[in-house]
Amino acid sequence: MKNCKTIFILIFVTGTGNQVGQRTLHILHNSEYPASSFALLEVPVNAAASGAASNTNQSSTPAPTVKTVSLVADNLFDLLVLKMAPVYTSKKIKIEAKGPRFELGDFVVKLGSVVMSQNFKGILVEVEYRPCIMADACWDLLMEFVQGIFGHNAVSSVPRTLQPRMKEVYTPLDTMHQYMDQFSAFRKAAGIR
Amino acid sequence: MFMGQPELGDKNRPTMVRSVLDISVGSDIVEFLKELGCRREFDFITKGFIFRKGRLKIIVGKLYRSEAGKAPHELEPVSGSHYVEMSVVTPTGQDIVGEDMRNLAEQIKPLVNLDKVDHRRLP
Repeated sequence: MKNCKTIFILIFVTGTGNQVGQRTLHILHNSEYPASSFALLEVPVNAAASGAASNTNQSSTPAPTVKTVSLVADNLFDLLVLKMAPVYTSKKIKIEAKGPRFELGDFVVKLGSVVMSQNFKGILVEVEYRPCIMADACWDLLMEFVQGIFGHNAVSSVPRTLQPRMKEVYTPLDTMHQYMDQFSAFRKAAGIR
Repeated sequence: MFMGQPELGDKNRPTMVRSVLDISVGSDIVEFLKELGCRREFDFITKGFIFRKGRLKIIVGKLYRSEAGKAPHELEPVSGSHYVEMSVVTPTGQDIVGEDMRNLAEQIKPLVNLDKVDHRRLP
C-alpha cells in the first residue's frame, strides 16, 4: 500500500449576464500532480438547427449541448479564481475521491471513496498502465487486467472523453476529464445540477 | 501574469502597490480566457532594456502597438520616447521595499523623474 491520493473538485457557477446560458467552472486537484490545478470550463452551445423544416410552422428549439474547455495551470490559479468571485460565484460543492494506491508491476491501481459534502457516494477504481503513453495501444491489456478483478461487471467501452484521443499521447488532463465525468454522474444521481 | 487594481489607501506609500499572480499555464490559455468571458482589449510589445539592482527591476523601453500580419521589426512605436518603469515583486506586507525604490528614484532624479501614477486620473 502506498500513499493515499486525493482528488478534489470545486464547482463554480457564473451568472448569465449577457452571455448565453450559465458557464460552470470546475477546479480539480490530483495528489499525483501536486503542483497543478486542472480547470474544466463547461460552456453551453446551442446545436445548429438542421437545414430543413422551413415548411412547417413549428419552430424547433435546438438542444443545448455543452462544450468543455480545459486548462492545466499551477496552484496559483485557485487564487485567480477567487479574484473572479464577483462573476463566478462558488457553489461550495466539493467532491473528493480518497483512498489507497497500489502498484503491481507496471500497473497502478488507485481506489477512491467518493465523498460529496461529507456524504459517501460510491467507489472509483482507477487503473493505470505506466509504460504506455497511448490509450489505443494498451486498451485491450487494461481491459484484461480489469476483467481479472471485476469479471463480467467490467465495462469495456471506451470512456466518452477518451474516445477522440485514443491515438494521441495520454496526458494527466485526460485522467481529470474521466474523473470529471464520474463526479458528474455522482452529482446527477444525487439530484444536484 | 495577473495584475490587480492599485490598492487603495496608499497615499502615504512612495510607490503604487498591486497584487500580482504569476501563473504557469498550458498552451491553450487564450481560448480558455475567451470562453471564461474575458475580452481581448489590446496587445502591445515593449522593446528595450531590463536593468536590475538587487531585487529592483528597471525597464527602459519603447512601446509598440501589435498589429496582425506585421513582423516585430515593422511595427511603428506608439511614441518616440522611452518609458522607465521600476518594479519589485515581493510578498504581501513588505512595504519597506518602497523606501529602496524611492532612494533609487532620488539618485536618478535629474535624468528621470520617477513618480507614482494614479491611473484613474489619466485621460
